[in-house]
Amino acid sequence: MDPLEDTLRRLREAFHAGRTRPAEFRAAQLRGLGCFLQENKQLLHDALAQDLHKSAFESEVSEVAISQGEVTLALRNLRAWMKDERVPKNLATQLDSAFIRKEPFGLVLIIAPWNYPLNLTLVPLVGALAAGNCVVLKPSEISKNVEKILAEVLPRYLDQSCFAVVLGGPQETGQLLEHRFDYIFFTGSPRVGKIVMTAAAKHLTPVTLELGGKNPCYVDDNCDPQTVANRVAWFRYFNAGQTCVAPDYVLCSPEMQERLLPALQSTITRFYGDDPQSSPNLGRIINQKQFQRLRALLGCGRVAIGGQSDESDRYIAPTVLVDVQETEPVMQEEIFGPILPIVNVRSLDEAIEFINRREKPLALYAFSNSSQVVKRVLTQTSSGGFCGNDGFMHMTLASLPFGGVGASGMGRYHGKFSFDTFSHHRACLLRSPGMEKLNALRYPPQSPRRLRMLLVAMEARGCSCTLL
Amino acid sequence: MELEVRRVREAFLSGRSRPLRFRLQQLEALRRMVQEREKDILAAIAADLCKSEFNVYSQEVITVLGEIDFMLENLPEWVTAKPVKKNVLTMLDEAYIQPQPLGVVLIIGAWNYPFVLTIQPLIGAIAAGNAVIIKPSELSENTAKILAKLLPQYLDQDLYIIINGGVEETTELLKQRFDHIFYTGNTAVGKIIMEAAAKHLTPVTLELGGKSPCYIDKDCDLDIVCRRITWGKYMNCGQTCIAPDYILCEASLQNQIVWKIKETVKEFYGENIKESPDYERIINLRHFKRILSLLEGQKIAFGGETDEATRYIAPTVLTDVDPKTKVMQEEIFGPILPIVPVKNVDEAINFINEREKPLALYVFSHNHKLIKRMIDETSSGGVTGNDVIMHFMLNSFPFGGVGSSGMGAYHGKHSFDTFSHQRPCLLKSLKREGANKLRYPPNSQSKVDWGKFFLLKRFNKEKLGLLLLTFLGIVAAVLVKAEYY
Repeated sequence: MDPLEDTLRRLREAFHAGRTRPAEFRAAQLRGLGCFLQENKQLLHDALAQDLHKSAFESEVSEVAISQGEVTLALRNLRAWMKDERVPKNLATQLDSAFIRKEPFGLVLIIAPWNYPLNLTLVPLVGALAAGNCVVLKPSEISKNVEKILAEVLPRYLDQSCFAVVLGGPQETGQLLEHRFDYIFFTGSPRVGKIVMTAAAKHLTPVTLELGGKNPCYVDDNCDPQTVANRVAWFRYFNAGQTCVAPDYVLCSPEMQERLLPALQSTITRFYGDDPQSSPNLGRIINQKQFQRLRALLGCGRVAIGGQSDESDRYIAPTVLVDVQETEPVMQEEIFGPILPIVNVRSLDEAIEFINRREKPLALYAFSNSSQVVKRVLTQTSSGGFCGNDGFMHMTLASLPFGGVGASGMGRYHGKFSFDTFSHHRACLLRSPGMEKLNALRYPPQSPRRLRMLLVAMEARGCSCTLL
Repeated sequence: MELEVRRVREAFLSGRSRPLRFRLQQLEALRRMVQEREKDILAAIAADLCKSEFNVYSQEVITVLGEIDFMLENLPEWVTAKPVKKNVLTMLDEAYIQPQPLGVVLIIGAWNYPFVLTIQPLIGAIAAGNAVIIKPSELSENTAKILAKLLPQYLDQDLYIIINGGVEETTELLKQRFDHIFYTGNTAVGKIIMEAAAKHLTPVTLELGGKSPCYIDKDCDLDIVCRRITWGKYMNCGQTCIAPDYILCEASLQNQIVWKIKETVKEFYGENIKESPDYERIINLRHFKRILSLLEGQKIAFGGETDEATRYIAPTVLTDVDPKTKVMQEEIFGPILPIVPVKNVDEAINFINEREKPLALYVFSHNHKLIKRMIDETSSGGVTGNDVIMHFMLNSFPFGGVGSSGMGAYHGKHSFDTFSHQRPCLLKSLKREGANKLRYPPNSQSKVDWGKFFLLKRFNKEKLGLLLLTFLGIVAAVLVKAEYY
């Protein structure tokens, strides 16, 4: 007997039995998640340090606290989110009850990545549980230490009849995807995103795909280079650059580049010291494969800052590349490492044209003292999200939806958007058995007189109503 | 095909479809088209489905005009950025969600309501600022032809084009890249569309179908119930994605239901149904034969007459239907109404839940608790209680399926949202860099604590106000005290 089949069947039965529906059950699961985070904080910090050399600050701020924040938000708002949503009625339905019912889909599959292995696993999980689904979690096998905790410790805090963790690599994930789910939430690369969506198509399973791309960072001439350098560097080298919304490359004029380079150097030294490899605040590359890939990129253009690497430590220095050609590998793939290429453009128009020639990114950044410049970049481009004059701060606001567009993804989550993503919005119209005389208008046999009445009624409408 | 799509994309990239005024103009032009060319449109649909003028109006035109008017009224508000609640870290910033067009949208229409099911999504796509390629169903040939003729006369000819053709042309079309694909049709083709979309990571809205169950409780006014069901079932000769597909009821009700439906059919369509201008025909011979085959081995309570030459099938009711037979295995999409007897509502709920989630679910009862139970314990795209079809008519509802009945939704603002990217935007200033020192390395425990504080604390104006008041109170008290000493 296939153990996976058994697990899925068990979860489905629990769902059909209605176990995950009551608000009390969902709240208990969310509280369980909260306890998991609080009681295992040190364990999680250690695992994150082992997997990615994450500092306590990064682990707290970008993994634990974010997850905790989502748990708290969901607990606080659960009942409000679950409530039937009344909708405005038209003439024909004035006396009826019209509402949207938020229903769980059923069995949800969450496939999580390795770069923020806690955050990007738990935040979607919060949404799926709050919405009343049963969940199968497939954490990334690449962030081994966090995977172990998610597989062995997390289930103790949740009702295991409605939650399961499945482990494995690409092959096991492929097998998992052959089964039918009611929703699939995937965070990862566009290449694998296509594979997931193709597999989902066989069962008509709706998906949310949080993918990636090359996030452009336009730096205008009109700005303070030191401030910009601080902000860009922080978001670029956070988690050793392994962030889907990190500024991937800079677009600026040659003049701006001249001012930016010493500012970046100054920032990097201030952040990580003269020997960044010994700084506790700089992460490491997740594994050899990624390390080799990134080291090869160091050969593109010319190294202006950094460029050092150490294979035994999977360390790559905070690096800035200049004189980079669009055709070089560093400008062809999402970097996902602590390397920042600077591409020169002669004007804002050229920058916008450069951006629009390429795939829509997950995030887009523009730095300028002039709000007009920032707004122009915003309105003339498209991207998952946008932040003016800073890095991915827009992610910290749960009232903003987080997701991609085009090749950077489809669907969105965070806060209430997570709850809505994992819910089916069911239109419910409850009519009264009375008022049948009114209905008579719609029944055959129809007559020219009725048609005239209908046309008159249509003309008389000030706003739109469908009469029948 | 590739050239056509490229032309449309270039038209989109010119930015022409974005300004609000342009979108409103196009919608107004569409409205004019419907009003000025109504004769041509009616004639085309009548030729495809043998539909009466009244029926075209009430089933298709009214919805289209209503939708256009609704867009015209609300679009100016919808296109504006929506500010969102901020936290302590973003207190002084601008944070909002800005809707943007997706780009080039592909709309694949259906043949059963060939006008509204093609134009209503088009309205949403235009309103959201996209360029659109429309592929009407080739089965409703006349409507496809008239749309190809009329649309270019009223709408921008480079931004909104019609491509007609069959399976081959559609397959070619699906190899191209779009920014959203909207499909109305059946489940099997829905899978093909989603798979094609996956190659380009194109989001899809699939309006599919299924067998929409209709549960009739003992405690109801059977006269009214049967009239409503008859109306919804035989409308468009049963070729409606949200038609009540089959009835579930206690065996004791069957005979009454049959009798009352029979009477209602007579009232609606007269003694000689074939002569009634209000009764449509099956779209083509293939579907005619398919529906006919569903009658094999069934107990026909009334109806069952057919005429292949005119593709006529009489309104038919089957009783004591065995769930394992063919008529209960596929979406009927025809004027045949099986009644499947069940012992009670528990059995009905189990019956429904054993099957794929349908596009619509209907339940008739005076007992509000029973209706609530039906809704609570099943799932479906939508529900109408004590009537059929009607939830389609309210455009404040998202209209769409779940599970194998589809994904995504539209109508009204839901159309606008479906065809837009809701882009989160945060605009900060380059000032106050000093405050950012808190986040930059080198880190310390105090920075960790501050980080948590800012992330986890909500920006609560009331609390802050209260705090301020308290502070002022203390200051005042101290000052007063100081006066005395």
